[in-house]
Amino acid sequence: MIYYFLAVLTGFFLTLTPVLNGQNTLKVGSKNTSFYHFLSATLTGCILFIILGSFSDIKAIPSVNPIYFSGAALGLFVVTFMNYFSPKIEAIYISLLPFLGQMVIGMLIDILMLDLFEIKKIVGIGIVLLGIAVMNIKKTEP
Amino acid sequence: MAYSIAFITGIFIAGMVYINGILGSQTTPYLSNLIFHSIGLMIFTLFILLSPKNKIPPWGWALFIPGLMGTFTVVFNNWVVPHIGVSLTVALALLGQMITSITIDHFGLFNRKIKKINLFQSIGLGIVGLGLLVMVF
Repeated sequence: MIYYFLAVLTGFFLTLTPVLNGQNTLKVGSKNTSFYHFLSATLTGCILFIILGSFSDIKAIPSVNPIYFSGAALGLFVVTFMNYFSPKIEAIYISLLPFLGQMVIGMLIDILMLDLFEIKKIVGIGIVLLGIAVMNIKKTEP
Repeated sequence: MAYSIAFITGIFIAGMVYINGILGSQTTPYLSNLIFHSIGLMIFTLFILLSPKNKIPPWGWALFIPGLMGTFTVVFNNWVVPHIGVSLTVALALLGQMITSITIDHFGLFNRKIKKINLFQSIGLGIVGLGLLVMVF
């Protein structure tokens, strides 16, 4: 149950982070905002690592396949792409298309790598998409 | 073009969550988060150094908090994905995003224009919740 709650909380952070970063961008520019974002994330990450991790964990780094360090590069693409398409497409597609992309690849990863395929997930995703579509129905002014 | 990029961004997000998850399982969730953000910090430090006209503003809480959330986003993902999978994590995060954005709009938080929640948004949110329940149970 705690994992479901944490996943929802992640969504809370995912929405709030760009809102706050957007305000910072207006004040200090996007480069400084991104710099400070990663600086404070690294500092907080250091503190979490010191408290909850162990320095012996660092020994594992050389044996990690370098391809798994590419997550950060993907993250930079995500930020750049979001800045590109967000002003260009309708609001409904800003949430719908990345969600679809995540779901398609998420399903493939779950099936192929984690062995977690379930038909109820496909049904659930269909219902979630319907919900997003309903949320974005434009209220006609009387 | 923008539509395809939006779809591809979703693929990248899922890939990023998965890759960080693997990195987390091969090291620890905390170390993989630290690696992820250190690489980002190195890249943006380089950007700053390459633009000498740019002046770095003094540090403040407003500049600190988003990064703090960034760290917890990655750490939580690293905890959650191995237990409930990528698709359910993404779907639940989407619910969190919807609730947060509707709340921000409804109350006009963070100096944004007030946009009261309408009937369709309430019904839609209910349907999204129902879809998630189907995925979970």
